[in-house]
Amino acid sequence: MNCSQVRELMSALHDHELRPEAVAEVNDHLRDCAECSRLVSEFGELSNLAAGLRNVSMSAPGWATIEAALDAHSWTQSQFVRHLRSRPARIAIAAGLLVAATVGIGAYYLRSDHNDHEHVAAHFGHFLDEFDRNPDEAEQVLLANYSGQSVSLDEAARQLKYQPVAPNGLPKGFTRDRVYLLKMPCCVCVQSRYKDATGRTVVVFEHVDDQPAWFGDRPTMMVQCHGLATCLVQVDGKLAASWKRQKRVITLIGALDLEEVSRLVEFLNELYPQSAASDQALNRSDGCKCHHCICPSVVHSDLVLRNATDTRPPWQHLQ
Amino acid sequence: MSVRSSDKPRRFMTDAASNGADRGVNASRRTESIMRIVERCRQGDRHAQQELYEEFKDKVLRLVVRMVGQQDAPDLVQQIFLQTFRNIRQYSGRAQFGTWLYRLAINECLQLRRRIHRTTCCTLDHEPIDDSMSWSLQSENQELLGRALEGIDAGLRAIFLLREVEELSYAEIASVLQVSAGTVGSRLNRARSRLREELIELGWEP
Repeated sequence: MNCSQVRELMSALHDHELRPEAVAEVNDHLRDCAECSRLVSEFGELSNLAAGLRNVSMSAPGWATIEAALDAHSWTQSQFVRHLRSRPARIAIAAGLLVAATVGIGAYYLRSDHNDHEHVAAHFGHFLDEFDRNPDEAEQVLLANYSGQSVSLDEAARQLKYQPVAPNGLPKGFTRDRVYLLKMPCCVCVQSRYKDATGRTVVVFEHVDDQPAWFGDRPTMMVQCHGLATCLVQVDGKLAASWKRQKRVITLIGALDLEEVSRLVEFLNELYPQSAASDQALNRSDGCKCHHCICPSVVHSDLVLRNATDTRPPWQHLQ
Repeated sequence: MSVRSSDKPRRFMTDAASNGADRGVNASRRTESIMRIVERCRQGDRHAQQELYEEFKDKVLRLVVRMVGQQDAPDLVQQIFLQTFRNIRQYSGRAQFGTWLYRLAINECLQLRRRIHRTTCCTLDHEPIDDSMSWSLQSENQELLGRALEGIDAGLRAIFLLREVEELSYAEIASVLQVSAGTVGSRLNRARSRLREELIELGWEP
Protein backbone atom coordinates (compact mmCIF):
# COMPACT_ATOMS: atom_id res chain seq x y z
CA MET A 1 0.00 0.00 0.00
CA ASN A 2 1.14 3.54 -0.66
CA CYS A 3 0.63 6.58 1.58
CA SER A 4 -2.54 7.67 -0.18
CA GLN A 5 -4.17 4.24 0.20
CA VAL A 6 -3.15 4.02 3.84
CA ARG A 7 -4.46 7.49 4.67
CA GLU A 8 -7.83 6.60 3.18
CA LEU A 9 -8.02 3.77 5.74
CA MET A 10 -6.46 5.65 8.63
CA SER A 11 -9.65 6.38 10.56
CA ALA A 12 -10.92 2.85 10.09
CA LEU A 13 -7.58 1.54 11.39
CA HIS A 14 -7.66 3.88 14.36
CA ASP A 15 -11.26 2.95 15.17
CA HIS A 16 -10.63 -0.82 14.85
CA GLU A 17 -13.06 -1.02 11.94
CA LEU A 18 -10.64 -2.57 9.45
CA ARG A 19 -10.63 -6.20 8.43
CA PRO A 20 -7.62 -8.06 9.92
CA GLU A 21 -5.96 -8.63 6.53
CA ALA A 22 -6.15 -4.91 5.77
CA VAL A 23 -4.76 -4.10 9.23
CA ALA A 24 -1.71 -6.21 8.44
CA GLU A 25 -1.16 -4.41 5.13
CA VAL A 26 -1.53 -0.98 6.72
CA ASN A 27 0.82 -1.91 9.55
CA ASP A 28 3.41 -3.09 7.02
CA HIS A 29 3.33 0.40 5.53
CA LEU A 30 3.36 2.16 8.90
CA ARG A 31 6.54 0.36 9.94
CA ASP A 32 8.39 2.06 7.07
CA CYS A 33 6.59 5.41 6.87
CA ALA A 34 7.25 7.90 9.63
CA GLU A 35 4.79 10.48 8.27
CA CYS A 36 1.80 8.10 8.19
CA SER A 37 2.76 6.72 11.62
CA ARG A 38 2.79 10.26 12.97
CA LEU A 39 -0.70 10.91 11.57
CA VAL A 40 -2.08 7.74 13.17
CA SER A 41 -0.54 8.77 16.45
CA GLU A 42 -2.12 12.23 16.15
CA PHE A 43 -5.52 10.63 15.55
CA GLY A 44 -4.92 8.87 18.87
CA GLU A 45 -4.15 12.16 20.59
CA LEU A 46 -7.32 13.67 19.14
CA SER A 47 -9.31 10.78 20.58
CA ASN A 48 -7.75 11.32 24.00
CA LEU A 49 -8.72 14.97 23.85
CA ALA A 50 -12.22 14.15 22.64
CA ALA A 51 -12.76 11.84 25.60
CA GLY A 52 -12.93 15.01 27.70
CA LEU A 53 -15.95 16.15 25.69
CA ARG A 54 -18.02 13.36 27.19
CA ASN A 55 -18.41 15.43 30.35
CA VAL A 56 -20.89 18.25 30.09
CA SER A 57 -21.15 20.75 32.91
CA MET A 58 -24.88 21.35 32.51
CA SER A 59 -27.92 19.15 32.99
CA ALA A 60 -30.75 18.33 30.65
CA PRO A 61 -34.10 19.96 31.45
CA GLY A 62 -36.01 18.07 34.14
CA TRP A 63 -38.85 15.76 33.14
CA ALA A 64 -41.34 18.29 34.59
CA THR A 65 -40.32 20.78 31.88
CA ILE A 66 -40.82 18.26 29.10
CA GLU A 67 -44.10 17.08 30.60
CA ALA A 68 -45.36 20.67 30.83
CA ALA A 69 -44.51 21.21 27.16
CA LEU A 70 -46.28 17.97 26.24
CA ASP A 71 -49.30 19.00 28.33
CA ALA A 72 -49.38 22.43 26.71
CA HIS A 73 -49.52 20.71 23.34
CA SER A 74 -52.35 18.36 24.32
CA TRP A 75 -54.18 21.18 26.19
CA THR A 76 -54.26 23.22 23.01
CA GLN A 77 -55.77 20.27 21.18
CA SER A 78 -58.43 19.59 23.86
CA GLN A 79 -59.37 23.28 24.12
CA PHE A 80 -59.84 23.37 20.39
CA VAL A 81 -62.24 20.40 20.52
CA ARG A 82 -64.21 21.98 23.40
CA HIS A 83 -64.56 25.27 21.52
CA LEU A 84 -66.05 23.46 18.58
CA ARG A 85 -69.17 22.73 20.64
CA SER A 86 -70.48 26.35 20.58
CA ARG A 87 -71.99 27.72 17.34
CA PRO A 88 -70.25 31.15 17.31
CA ALA A 89 -66.99 29.41 17.95
CA ARG A 90 -67.67 27.02 15.08
CA ILE A 91 -68.31 29.97 12.72
CA ALA A 92 -65.20 31.78 13.95
CA ILE A 93 -63.14 28.66 13.59
CA ALA A 94 -64.52 27.99 10.10
CA ALA A 95 -63.60 31.54 9.06
CA GLY A 96 -60.21 31.15 10.66
CA LEU A 97 -59.66 27.86 8.89
CA LEU A 98 -60.52 29.45 5.56
CA VAL A 99 -57.92 32.16 6.10
CA ALA A 100 -55.43 29.65 7.44
CA ALA A 101 -56.01 27.35 4.47
CA THR A 102 -55.32 30.20 2.05
CA VAL A 103 -52.16 31.18 3.89
CA GLY A 104 -51.23 27.52 4.40
CA ILE A 105 -51.45 26.62 0.72
CA GLY A 106 -49.11 29.50 -0.10
CA ALA A 107 -46.77 28.49 2.72
CA TYR A 108 -46.91 24.86 1.60
CA TYR A 109 -45.62 25.71 -1.84
CA LEU A 110 -42.89 27.92 -0.38
CA ARG A 111 -41.97 25.29 2.18
CA SER A 112 -41.98 22.40 -0.27
CA ASP A 113 -39.68 24.43 -2.48
CA HIS A 114 -37.41 24.98 0.52
CA ASN A 115 -37.50 21.26 1.39
CA ASP A 116 -36.65 20.35 -2.19
CA HIS A 117 -33.62 22.62 -2.03
CA GLU A 118 -32.54 21.00 1.25
CA HIS A 119 -32.91 17.47 -0.16
CA VAL A 120 -31.01 18.36 -3.30
CA ALA A 121 -28.28 19.99 -1.20
CA ALA A 122 -28.07 16.83 0.97
CA HIS A 123 -27.84 14.47 -2.01
CA PHE A 124 -25.35 16.69 -3.78
CA GLY A 125 -23.41 16.91 -0.49
CA HIS A 126 -23.13 13.09 -0.49
CA PHE A 127 -22.05 13.21 -4.12
CA LEU A 128 -19.31 15.74 -3.36
CA ASP A 129 -18.19 13.80 -0.28
CA GLU A 130 -17.69 10.66 -2.34
CA PHE A 131 -16.47 12.22 -5.56
CA ASP A 132 -12.75 12.49 -4.92
CA ARG A 133 -12.55 9.02 -3.41
CA ASN A 134 -14.77 7.16 -5.83
CA PRO A 135 -16.51 9.11 -8.62
CA ASP A 136 -18.48 6.05 -9.78
CA GLU A 137 -19.94 5.47 -6.33
CA ALA A 138 -20.65 9.20 -5.99
CA GLU A 139 -22.53 9.17 -9.26
CA GLN A 140 -24.83 6.44 -7.97
CA VAL A 141 -26.11 8.80 -5.23
CA LEU A 142 -27.55 11.14 -7.87
CA LEU A 143 -28.63 8.43 -10.31
CA ALA A 144 -30.53 6.60 -7.56
CA ASN A 145 -32.25 9.70 -6.19
CA TYR A 146 -33.11 11.40 -9.46
CA SER A 147 -34.07 8.48 -11.73
CA GLY A 148 -30.81 8.80 -13.66
CA GLN A 149 -31.10 7.64 -17.24
CA SER A 150 -28.20 7.14 -19.66
CA VAL A 151 -29.08 8.90 -22.94
CA SER A 152 -27.69 9.82 -26.33
CA LEU A 153 -27.11 13.49 -27.19
CA ASP A 154 -30.24 13.54 -29.38
CA GLU A 155 -32.36 12.01 -26.67
CA ALA A 156 -30.97 14.50 -24.14
CA ALA A 157 -31.87 17.43 -26.40
CA ARG A 158 -35.34 15.97 -27.07
CA GLN A 159 -36.17 15.57 -23.39
CA LEU A 160 -34.60 18.85 -22.30
CA LYS A 161 -36.26 20.75 -25.18
CA TYR A 162 -33.04 22.67 -25.74
CA GLN A 163 -29.59 21.80 -27.06
CA PRO A 164 -27.31 21.33 -24.06
CA VAL A 165 -23.76 22.62 -24.33
CA ALA A 166 -21.88 20.53 -21.77
CA PRO A 167 -22.27 17.09 -23.44
CA ASN A 168 -20.72 18.39 -26.69
CA GLY A 169 -17.22 17.83 -25.39
CA LEU A 170 -14.42 19.35 -23.37
CA PRO A 171 -11.04 20.50 -24.68
CA LYS A 172 -8.53 18.06 -26.16
CA GLY A 173 -7.44 15.49 -23.62
CA PHE A 174 -10.94 14.78 -22.29
CA THR A 175 -13.14 11.99 -23.62
CA ARG A 176 -16.87 11.90 -23.02
CA ASP A 177 -17.78 8.78 -21.13
CA ARG A 178 -21.50 8.97 -20.38
CA VAL A 179 -24.43 11.38 -20.53
CA TYR A 180 -27.27 11.06 -18.05
CA LEU A 181 -30.51 12.88 -17.49
CA LEU A 182 -31.45 13.50 -13.86
CA LYS A 183 -35.05 14.33 -12.99
CA MET A 184 -34.51 16.86 -10.21
CA PRO A 185 -37.30 18.70 -8.34
CA CYS A 186 -36.49 21.95 -10.15
CA CYS A 187 -35.95 20.64 -13.64
CA VAL A 188 -34.32 17.98 -15.78
CA CYS A 189 -30.54 18.22 -15.50
CA VAL A 190 -28.03 16.76 -17.95
CA GLN A 191 -24.93 15.19 -16.41
CA SER A 192 -21.92 14.64 -18.70
CA ARG A 193 -19.07 12.51 -17.46
CA TYR A 194 -15.61 12.91 -18.97
CA LYS A 195 -12.30 11.12 -18.43
CA ASP A 196 -8.82 12.43 -19.10
CA ALA A 197 -5.80 10.37 -20.17
CA THR A 198 -4.98 9.49 -16.56
CA GLY A 199 -8.49 8.16 -15.92
CA ARG A 200 -9.50 11.17 -13.83
CA THR A 201 -13.21 11.90 -13.91
CA VAL A 202 -14.63 15.35 -14.56
CA VAL A 203 -18.40 15.81 -14.43
CA VAL A 204 -20.36 18.70 -15.89
CA PHE A 205 -24.01 19.38 -15.00
CA GLU A 206 -26.20 21.66 -17.03
CA HIS A 207 -29.74 22.77 -16.34
CA VAL A 208 -32.09 25.70 -16.59
CA ASP A 209 -33.01 27.13 -13.22
CA ASP A 210 -31.86 29.47 -10.50
CA GLN A 211 -28.33 28.84 -9.29
CA PRO A 212 -28.65 25.57 -7.36
CA ALA A 213 -28.18 24.98 -3.62
CA TRP A 214 -25.89 22.08 -4.44
CA PHE A 215 -22.87 23.27 -2.50
CA GLY A 216 -24.88 23.44 0.76
CA ASP A 217 -22.95 25.15 3.52
CA ARG A 218 -19.49 24.36 2.17
CA PRO A 219 -17.21 27.39 2.09
CA THR A 220 -17.50 28.99 -1.32
CA MET A 221 -15.74 31.78 -3.09
CA MET A 222 -17.02 33.99 -5.88
CA VAL A 223 -14.65 34.93 -8.66
CA GLN A 224 -15.04 36.58 -12.04
CA CYS A 225 -13.96 34.06 -14.64
CA HIS A 226 -14.04 35.19 -18.26
CA GLY A 227 -16.65 37.73 -17.28
CA LEU A 228 -18.89 35.17 -15.56
CA ALA A 229 -19.63 35.27 -11.84
CA THR A 230 -18.36 31.84 -10.82
CA CYS A 231 -18.91 30.10 -7.51
CA LEU A 232 -15.94 27.94 -6.46
CA VAL A 233 -15.83 25.15 -3.89
CA GLN A 234 -13.07 22.81 -2.88
CA VAL A 235 -14.00 19.12 -3.11
CA ASP A 236 -11.24 17.37 -1.21
CA GLY A 237 -8.26 17.60 -3.55
CA LYS A 238 -10.24 18.98 -6.50
CA LEU A 239 -12.30 22.04 -7.35
CA ALA A 240 -15.95 22.48 -8.26
CA ALA A 241 -17.26 25.54 -10.04
CA SER A 242 -20.72 26.76 -10.93
CA TRP A 243 -21.70 29.66 -13.17
CA LYS A 244 -24.72 30.93 -15.01
CA ARG A 245 -24.84 31.83 -18.67
CA GLN A 246 -28.14 33.42 -19.61
CA LYS A 247 -30.67 30.87 -18.28
CA ARG A 248 -28.27 27.91 -18.22
CA VAL A 249 -26.46 26.92 -15.05
CA ILE A 250 -23.27 24.91 -15.58
CA THR A 251 -21.63 23.10 -12.69
CA LEU A 252 -18.22 21.53 -13.13
CA ILE A 253 -16.81 18.99 -10.67
CA GLY A 254 -13.30 17.60 -10.50
CA ALA A 255 -11.02 20.32 -11.88
CA LEU A 256 -7.40 20.02 -10.80
CA ASP A 257 -6.79 23.69 -10.15
CA LEU A 258 -7.96 27.18 -10.98
CA GLU A 259 -6.14 27.20 -14.27
CA GLU A 260 -8.16 24.21 -15.41
CA VAL A 261 -11.39 25.79 -14.15
CA SER A 262 -10.53 28.89 -16.17
CA ARG A 263 -9.76 26.83 -19.27
CA LEU A 264 -12.98 24.80 -19.05
CA VAL A 265 -15.17 27.84 -18.33
CA GLU A 266 -13.70 29.57 -21.36
CA PHE A 267 -14.15 26.49 -23.54
CA LEU A 268 -17.77 25.87 -22.55
CA ASN A 269 -18.55 29.56 -22.82
CA GLU A 270 -17.40 29.57 -26.41
CA LEU A 271 -19.76 26.73 -27.29
CA TYR A 272 -22.78 28.98 -26.73
CA PRO A 273 -24.51 30.33 -29.82
CA GLN A 274 -23.06 33.67 -30.92
CA SER A 275 -26.52 35.24 -30.69
CA ALA A 276 -26.09 35.11 -26.95
CA ALA A 277 -23.04 37.37 -27.13
CA SER A 278 -24.72 39.90 -24.90
CA ASP A 279 -24.82 37.35 -22.06
CA GLN A 280 -21.35 38.23 -20.94
CA ALA A 281 -22.26 41.84 -20.27
CA LEU A 282 -25.46 40.65 -18.57
CA ASN A 283 -23.58 38.35 -16.26
CA ARG A 284 -21.03 41.01 -15.45
CA SER A 285 -23.65 43.51 -14.39
CA ASP A 286 -25.63 40.90 -12.43
CA GLY A 287 -22.65 39.97 -10.28
CA CYS A 288 -23.09 37.12 -7.80
CA LYS A 289 -26.22 35.10 -8.48
CA CYS A 290 -25.20 32.41 -6.09
CA HIS A 291 -27.77 33.38 -3.49
CA HIS A 292 -28.35 29.83 -2.25
CA CYS A 293 -24.70 29.31 -1.45
CA ILE A 294 -23.83 30.40 2.06
CA CYS A 295 -20.79 32.54 1.51
CA PRO A 296 -19.55 33.78 4.91
CA SER A 297 -16.66 35.56 3.34
CA VAL A 298 -17.56 36.15 -0.26
CA VAL A 299 -14.64 37.49 -2.16
CA HIS A 300 -15.00 38.87 -5.65
CA SER A 301 -11.66 38.76 -7.34
CA ASP A 302 -10.31 38.40 -10.81
CA LEU A 303 -9.22 34.92 -11.71
CA VAL A 304 -5.64 35.36 -12.80
CA LEU A 305 -3.58 32.20 -12.78
CA ARG A 306 -0.88 31.60 -15.26
CA ASN A 307 1.69 29.56 -13.38
CA ALA A 308 1.19 25.94 -14.42
CA THR A 309 4.12 24.79 -12.30
CA ASP A 310 2.60 26.01 -9.04
CA THR A 311 2.33 22.91 -6.87
CA ARG A 312 0.19 24.34 -4.09
CA PRO A 313 -3.15 22.61 -3.36
CA PRO A 314 -5.94 24.08 -5.50
CA TRP A 315 -7.55 26.07 -2.72
CA GLN A 316 -4.36 27.86 -1.79
CA HIS A 317 -4.36 29.47 -5.21
CA LEU A 318 -7.29 31.51 -4.02
CA GLN A 319 -5.57 32.95 -0.98
CA MET B 1 3.44 -6.70 0.17
CA SER B 2 2.94 -4.89 -3.10
CA VAL B 3 -0.41 -3.59 -4.14
CA ARG B 4 -0.95 -2.29 -7.63
CA SER B 5 -2.88 0.96 -7.78
CA SER B 6 -4.90 -0.47 -10.66
CA ASP B 7 -6.27 -3.23 -8.45
CA LYS B 8 -10.00 -3.12 -8.07
CA PRO B 9 -11.08 -1.44 -4.82
CA ARG B 10 -11.26 -4.09 -2.14
CA ARG B 11 -13.47 -4.15 0.88
CA PHE B 12 -11.38 -3.18 3.89
CA MET B 13 -14.09 -2.35 6.38
CA THR B 14 -15.54 -4.84 8.82
CA ASP B 15 -19.14 -5.95 8.27
CA ALA B 16 -21.98 -4.30 10.10
CA ALA B 17 -23.26 -7.80 10.81
CA SER B 18 -20.07 -8.89 12.53
CA ASN B 19 -20.14 -5.77 14.68
CA GLY B 20 -23.73 -6.48 15.57
CA ALA B 21 -22.96 -10.05 16.55
CA ASP B 22 -20.40 -8.85 19.07
CA ARG B 23 -22.79 -6.81 21.10
CA GLY B 24 -23.82 -9.68 23.29
CA VAL B 25 -26.82 -10.82 25.19
CA ASN B 26 -27.00 -7.86 27.58
CA ALA B 27 -27.21 -5.39 24.74
CA SER B 28 -29.94 -7.48 23.17
CA ARG B 29 -31.96 -7.49 26.39
CA ARG B 30 -31.50 -3.76 26.73
CA THR B 31 -32.69 -3.24 23.17
CA GLU B 32 -35.78 -5.34 23.85
CA SER B 33 -36.48 -3.37 27.00
CA ILE B 34 -36.22 -0.07 25.11
CA MET B 35 -38.49 -1.41 22.39
CA ARG B 36 -41.12 -2.22 25.02
CA ILE B 37 -40.87 1.34 26.37
CA VAL B 38 -41.12 2.72 22.83
CA GLU B 39 -44.23 0.61 22.22
CA ARG B 40 -45.87 2.07 25.34
CA CYS B 41 -44.85 5.58 24.23
CA ARG B 42 -46.63 4.96 20.94
CA GLN B 43 -49.82 4.45 22.96
CA GLY B 44 -49.30 7.78 24.74
CA ASP B 45 -48.18 6.28 28.09
CA ARG B 46 -46.75 9.24 30.02
CA HIS B 47 -44.67 7.03 32.36
CA ALA B 48 -43.06 5.36 29.37
CA GLN B 49 -42.25 8.77 27.89
CA GLN B 50 -40.53 9.71 31.12
CA GLU B 51 -38.57 6.43 31.14
CA LEU B 52 -37.44 7.02 27.59
CA TYR B 53 -36.48 10.61 28.38
CA GLU B 54 -34.44 9.59 31.43
CA GLU B 55 -32.73 6.89 29.38
CA PHE B 56 -31.57 9.15 26.55
CA LYS B 57 -31.58 12.75 27.84
CA ASP B 58 -27.89 12.88 28.80
CA LYS B 59 -26.68 11.44 25.52
CA VAL B 60 -28.85 13.86 23.54
CA LEU B 61 -27.77 16.81 25.69
CA ARG B 62 -24.09 15.94 25.25
CA LEU B 63 -24.44 15.80 21.48
CA VAL B 64 -26.51 18.99 21.32
CA VAL B 65 -24.11 20.99 23.53
CA ARG B 66 -21.22 20.07 21.26
CA MET B 67 -23.22 20.74 18.10
CA VAL B 68 -24.88 24.08 18.91
CA GLY B 69 -23.34 25.32 22.19
CA GLN B 70 -24.61 25.51 25.77
CA GLN B 71 -26.84 28.53 25.28
CA ASP B 72 -29.29 26.87 22.90
CA ALA B 73 -28.90 23.34 24.23
CA PRO B 74 -31.75 23.12 26.83
CA ASP B 75 -34.40 24.46 24.45
CA LEU B 76 -33.17 22.24 21.66
CA VAL B 77 -33.16 19.14 23.86
CA GLN B 78 -36.77 19.89 24.80
CA GLN B 79 -37.65 20.40 21.16
CA ILE B 80 -35.98 17.12 20.17
CA PHE B 81 -37.92 15.10 22.72
CA LEU B 82 -41.22 16.80 21.86
CA GLN B 83 -40.57 15.87 18.24
CA THR B 84 -39.62 12.37 19.32
CA PHE B 85 -42.89 11.79 21.18
CA ARG B 86 -44.98 13.38 18.44
CA ASN B 87 -43.34 11.32 15.71
CA ILE B 88 -42.67 8.08 17.53
CA ARG B 89 -45.28 6.25 15.47
CA GLN B 90 -43.05 6.87 12.46
CA TYR B 91 -40.23 4.87 14.05
CA SER B 92 -40.37 1.61 12.13
CA GLY B 93 -38.17 -0.44 14.46
CA ARG B 94 -35.78 -1.44 11.67
CA ALA B 95 -32.88 0.54 13.19
CA GLN B 96 -32.06 0.76 16.87
CA PHE B 97 -34.17 3.39 18.61
CA GLY B 98 -31.05 5.27 19.71
CA THR B 99 -29.94 5.51 16.08
CA TRP B 100 -33.32 6.96 15.09
CA LEU B 101 -33.16 9.44 17.96
CA TYR B 102 -29.61 10.53 17.09
CA ARG B 103 -30.73 11.10 13.50
CA LEU B 104 -33.60 13.27 14.68
CA ALA B 105 -31.31 15.15 17.08
CA ILE B 106 -28.67 15.84 14.43
CA ASN B 107 -31.30 17.04 11.97
CA GLU B 108 -32.67 19.45 14.59
CA CYS B 109 -29.13 20.70 15.38
CA LEU B 110 -28.35 21.25 11.70
CA GLN B 111 -31.68 23.03 11.18
CA LEU B 112 -30.99 25.33 14.13
CA ARG B 113 -27.55 26.11 12.78
CA ARG B 114 -29.01 26.90 9.36
CA ARG B 115 -31.58 29.23 10.95
CA ILE B 116 -28.85 30.98 12.95
CA HIS B 117 -26.66 31.18 9.88
CA ARG B 118 -29.47 32.63 7.78
CA THR B 119 -30.41 35.27 10.33
CA THR B 120 -26.99 36.34 11.55
CA CYS B 121 -24.63 35.35 8.73
CA CYS B 122 -21.85 34.65 11.20
CA THR B 123 -20.49 31.66 13.02
CA LEU B 124 -21.51 30.76 16.55
CA ASP B 125 -19.50 32.50 19.18
CA HIS B 126 -17.13 30.33 21.09
CA GLU B 127 -18.54 28.96 24.29
CA PRO B 128 -16.18 27.59 26.90
CA ILE B 129 -16.44 23.85 27.35
CA ASP B 130 -16.52 23.99 31.08
CA ASP B 131 -15.82 27.06 33.19
CA SER B 132 -14.91 24.98 36.21
CA MET B 133 -12.00 23.27 34.46
CA SER B 134 -8.64 23.73 36.02
CA TRP B 135 -6.03 25.28 33.77
CA SER B 136 -4.08 22.12 33.25
CA LEU B 137 -2.55 21.45 29.86
CA GLN B 138 -5.18 18.79 29.23
CA SER B 139 -8.09 21.13 29.90
CA GLU B 140 -6.51 23.87 27.82
CA ASN B 141 -6.22 21.41 24.96
CA GLN B 142 -9.82 20.33 25.45
CA GLU B 143 -10.92 23.93 25.23
CA LEU B 144 -8.90 24.24 22.05
CA LEU B 145 -10.70 21.17 20.72
CA GLY B 146 -14.05 22.79 21.53
CA ARG B 147 -13.02 25.85 19.54
CA ALA B 148 -11.60 23.75 16.71
CA LEU B 149 -14.89 21.84 16.48
CA GLU B 150 -16.71 25.13 15.99
CA GLY B 151 -14.40 25.88 13.10
CA ILE B 152 -15.25 22.84 11.01
CA ASP B 153 -18.26 21.98 8.88
CA ALA B 154 -21.30 20.98 10.99
CA GLY B 155 -21.65 17.65 9.18
CA LEU B 156 -18.02 16.73 9.92
CA ARG B 157 -18.48 17.83 13.51
CA ALA B 158 -21.52 15.58 13.85
CA ILE B 159 -19.72 12.51 12.57
CA PHE B 160 -16.70 13.17 14.79
CA LEU B 161 -18.93 13.52 17.86
CA LEU B 162 -20.92 10.39 17.03
CA ARG B 163 -17.69 8.42 16.91
CA GLU B 164 -15.51 9.98 19.59
CA VAL B 165 -18.05 11.13 22.14
CA GLU B 166 -21.03 8.84 21.60
CA GLU B 167 -18.72 5.95 20.68
CA LEU B 168 -20.97 4.60 17.94
CA SER B 169 -19.62 1.96 15.56
CA TYR B 170 -19.27 2.72 11.86
CA ALA B 171 -22.37 0.64 11.17
CA GLU B 172 -24.37 2.66 13.69
CA ILE B 173 -23.07 5.99 12.36
CA ALA B 174 -23.89 4.84 8.84
CA SER B 175 -27.42 4.14 10.00
CA VAL B 176 -27.77 7.53 11.72
CA LEU B 177 -26.47 9.46 8.73
CA GLN B 178 -27.90 7.08 6.11
CA VAL B 179 -24.60 6.64 4.30
CA SER B 180 -22.33 3.64 3.66
CA ALA B 181 -19.72 2.47 6.19
CA GLY B 182 -17.03 3.39 3.63
CA THR B 183 -18.35 6.94 3.57
CA VAL B 184 -18.23 7.05 7.38
CA GLY B 185 -14.51 6.20 7.23
CA SER B 186 -13.71 8.80 4.59
CA ARG B 187 -15.74 11.52 6.34
CA LEU B 188 -14.06 10.71 9.64
CA ASN B 189 -10.69 11.03 7.89
CA ARG B 190 -11.72 14.45 6.69
CA ALA B 191 -13.16 15.49 10.05
CA ARG B 192 -9.99 14.47 11.88
CA SER B 193 -7.72 16.11 9.33
CA ARG B 194 -9.72 19.36 9.47
CA LEU B 195 -9.72 19.28 13.27
CA ARG B 196 -6.00 18.70 13.32
CA GLU B 197 -5.47 21.69 11.03
CA GLU B 198 -7.76 23.90 13.14
CA LEU B 199 -6.05 22.79 16.35
CA ILE B 200 -2.57 23.45 15.00
CA GLU B 201 -3.75 26.90 13.88
CA LEU B 202 -4.98 27.51 17.44
CA GLY B 203 -1.58 26.58 18.84
CA TRP B 204 -2.02 22.89 19.62
CA GLU B 205 1.19 20.95 19.69
CA PRO B 206 0.60 17.28 19.05
